[in-house]
Amino acid sequence: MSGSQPVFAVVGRVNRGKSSIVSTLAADESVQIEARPGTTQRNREYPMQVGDRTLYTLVDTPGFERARHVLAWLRAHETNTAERASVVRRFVAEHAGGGRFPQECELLRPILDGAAILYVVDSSVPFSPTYEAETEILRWTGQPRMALINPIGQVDHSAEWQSVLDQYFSLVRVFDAHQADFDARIDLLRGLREISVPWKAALDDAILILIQDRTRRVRSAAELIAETLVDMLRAREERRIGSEEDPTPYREGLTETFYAALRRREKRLHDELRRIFLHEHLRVAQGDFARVDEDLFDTSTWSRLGLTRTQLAISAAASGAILGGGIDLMTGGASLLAGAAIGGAVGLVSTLAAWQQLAGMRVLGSSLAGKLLRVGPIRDPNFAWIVLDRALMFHAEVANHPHARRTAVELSGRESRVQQLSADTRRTLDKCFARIRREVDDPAACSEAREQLARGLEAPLRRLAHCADPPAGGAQTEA
Amino acid sequence: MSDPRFTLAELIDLELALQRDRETPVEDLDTRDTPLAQHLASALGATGETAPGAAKSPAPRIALRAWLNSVQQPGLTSAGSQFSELIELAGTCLLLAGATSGALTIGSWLLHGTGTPVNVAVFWPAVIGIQLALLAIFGLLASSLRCAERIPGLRGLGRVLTSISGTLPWLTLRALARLSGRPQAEWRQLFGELRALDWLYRRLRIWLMTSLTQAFAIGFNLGALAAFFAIPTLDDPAFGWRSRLLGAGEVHAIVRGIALPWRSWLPSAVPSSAAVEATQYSSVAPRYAVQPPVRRPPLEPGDASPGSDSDRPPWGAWWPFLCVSLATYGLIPRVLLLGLAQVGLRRELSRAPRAHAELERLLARLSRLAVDTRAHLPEEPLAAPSQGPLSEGTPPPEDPLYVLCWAGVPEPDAHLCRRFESAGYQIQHLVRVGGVDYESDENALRELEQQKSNRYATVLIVEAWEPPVGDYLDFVRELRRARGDAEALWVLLFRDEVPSSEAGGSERDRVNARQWEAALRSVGDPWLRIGFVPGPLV
Repeated sequence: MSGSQPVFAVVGRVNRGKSSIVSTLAADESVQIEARPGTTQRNREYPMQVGDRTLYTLVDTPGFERARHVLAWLRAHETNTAERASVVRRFVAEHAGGGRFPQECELLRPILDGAAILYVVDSSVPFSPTYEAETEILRWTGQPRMALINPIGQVDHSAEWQSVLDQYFSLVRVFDAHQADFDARIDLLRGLREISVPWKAALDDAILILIQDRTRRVRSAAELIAETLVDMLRAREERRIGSEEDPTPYREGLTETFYAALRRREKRLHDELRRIFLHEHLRVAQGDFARVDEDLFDTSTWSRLGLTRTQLAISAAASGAILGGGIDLMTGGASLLAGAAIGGAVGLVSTLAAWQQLAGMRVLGSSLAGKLLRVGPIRDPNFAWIVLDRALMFHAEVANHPHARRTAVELSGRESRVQQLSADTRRTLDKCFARIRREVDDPAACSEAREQLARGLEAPLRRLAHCADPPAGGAQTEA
Repeated sequence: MSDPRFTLAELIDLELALQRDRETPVEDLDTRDTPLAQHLASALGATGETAPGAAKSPAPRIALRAWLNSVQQPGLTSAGSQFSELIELAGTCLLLAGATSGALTIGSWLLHGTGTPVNVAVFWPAVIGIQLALLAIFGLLASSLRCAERIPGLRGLGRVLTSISGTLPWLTLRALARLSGRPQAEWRQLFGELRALDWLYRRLRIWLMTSLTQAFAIGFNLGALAAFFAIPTLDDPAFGWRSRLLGAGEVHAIVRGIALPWRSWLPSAVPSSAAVEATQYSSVAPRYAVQPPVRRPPLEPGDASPGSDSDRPPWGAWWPFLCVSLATYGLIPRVLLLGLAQVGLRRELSRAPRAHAELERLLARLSRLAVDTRAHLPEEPLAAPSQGPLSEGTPPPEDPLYVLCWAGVPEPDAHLCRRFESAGYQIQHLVRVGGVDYESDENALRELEQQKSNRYATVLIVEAWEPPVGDYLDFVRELRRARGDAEALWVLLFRDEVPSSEAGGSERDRVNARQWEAALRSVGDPWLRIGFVPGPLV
């Protein structure tokens, strides 16, 4: 076993959540998870691959169907205790290729090839003696074993299971496949190191790489969110009309086109975040958030998202005061801090004036070439925070959503995320937003602001994704 | 591994490919680029990769070049290569056009038929001076751009000049593009895409345009010099000067100033003060001379005397001065500027590609190995549920029950009996089956077979929450064999909680019942019945 790569066969009774556990551990939403028993009929492998190197493989197996009969056969053919594994091998050899025990042959094959065992039970049902046949067969194989108690329902018999499984397995863990986040996955991998010492190094590598990969995904998410913010803050819609034409009839259509483009841009971000965290088919519940989603520009919902009016006002006043303070410094204090006071007041007033002011249409130029009608960019300082808040909420959900849970994500009623950011982070992000608004026509300046935004967002996104700092040496896999 | 700079063609192709990638879903990009990332990583791995399963980042340009090769269609000339060829062709065309225009300008000026000498006071500023002025403004804008932009009006002037100077190369490029075999729509798209990159590569574009404009300028000066050498061979153009404000002394001082770079080593190319004085003419005086020839001072040594007739002013004395001026202030600065532009172009290309979001994402994709924990093969489709016969119901109360209870049912036998009795049933036999020891099943079935002639309602109680695995279904079949055909068999589901009403039941009960129904249908027994264990929990 020491020379081979780690393989873990996930076994257990039919419909006890083996596929759910594999789905969450492998971050694979293609795993069929059905209430119908016997969904898995063939072994299916989930190799953790980095390039052409496989670090470990999970094998989802069909469930036990006739464990008592198998055990009866094994006992009938047992010669001595030391040769039990070879009796199991004989059983598979004799019954392979059809017959009465196709599921048992299929699930025992990887174990006989050297896989360690992850035995899954459902703690919502009570232990019964019939399970003993399964655990006994697994014990006969002689392979390292770990039991996973999967709390599927509300009823909890885990204490009962724990006391029984302790007798058969070297390690027993509770693992809720429908709630497990990234940390729980890593914890389980750490547990697997303990049942198979020869594979410890390979699993250490796997853990390290998974954490690095998680960091990279969060970084990609930060870049995508930053890019979306820049795009949405710079967005505008224009239409040229004749110099004598009345622009009024165009107002509504142009404004709607502008808003529709912004909504599409936000949806693109959400799709990309789904892809980053391998949740391409994840559904978002049509709750409160969805209503907001339908109308990103419904200002009545803005009170819940983005920064509060007070937070924005303080931020703007502070920025104005700092600018004005620069003038005070230049005058050597002769201005008696009037610069700071005026700057703060201007910042405050301008923010309050722009509060919840969405895009209006402006008419530019009136030359022979005609008038240029323009909607956008949105100047309200809170708009960027609203978009960011929604992105952070979505990110937190998709980054932590276990792949076994197929229910829709519910975003309604979530607390604002940006209001929980540290003052330092808010200041950094606010500077970037201000720069984008100020230099909206300068692609180079906006590109720099995007990079700063991405850097500023990385730490909050990592916290939301429960992603620890990458271990030392992790930078080698990063771009 | 060396990481040579990009060529212009490669850079254009790279940026165009990146622009097009913006519209491609991230997943598709990952799928497309992962094999290349793996290839790059394994190439690096062969030269010493150390980190566990980690990829060592390849030199960016090597990775990008490899990526570009992988995404470009083989056998087709890329847009970048075509544009690069267009630039080279435009350079040649502009050189030739410049040479033609230079020769024609000088030729028409020297050969014009008004009969008056060429007025050097106009000729020099118009042909040479204006080039110097433009060069000075360009230098000011290019060398210390930030300072220059603060000079009022200079920034605007610079923009105007830049756009004017950029017009000629662009017009040339467009004209040549029209003549090429590539469809015009593609060229228009390409030019549009290149314009969109201006915020990243403005300096590169400026150096490129500078190269092209200097090609024209060099051609112009070469053509002018060629005309300067050719025309006096075939004709005798006269050079003089006239001015209302300047005297001969002042003009000579200016001339000596202009000739500063060469007057020490090429004095023959500097008109003497006597020659300057002698060649002054007036548009109103007869024979153009301001003073009678007899009072003309002797020529200084080195003056280029045009002829043996000492009475004639030295009309040719200006020729070498103008030739050397044109070479010094026209040709040489343009050659130097072209060299500078080439250096600038190479420097910009050595810094390329400039960082931007799409490039960073590409490098991230290429410099890491894709970590994949998912299955590679698709899952087999689920089999359709069985549609065999099955009826719902409970046994008739008048028949005594022969109950076989699965070992996992957590209800003591006595409690079970009371539960049935409370529902009006009478249990004749109750045996446990389904234990770890399979012999108990065989014994129970044997006993049942012996009771075959007695009138019993045969009931199998199973745990509702357990999946109906093959073990249960096998037992049902065995039960049928033991009981004989045409006798009803009841499979009653035991639930560990009883609903408040008989009709009710939790969602979990309904799911469990559906699973058992589906499994029992697969047995194909028309006398099989399914129901719940009657009566309340004891």
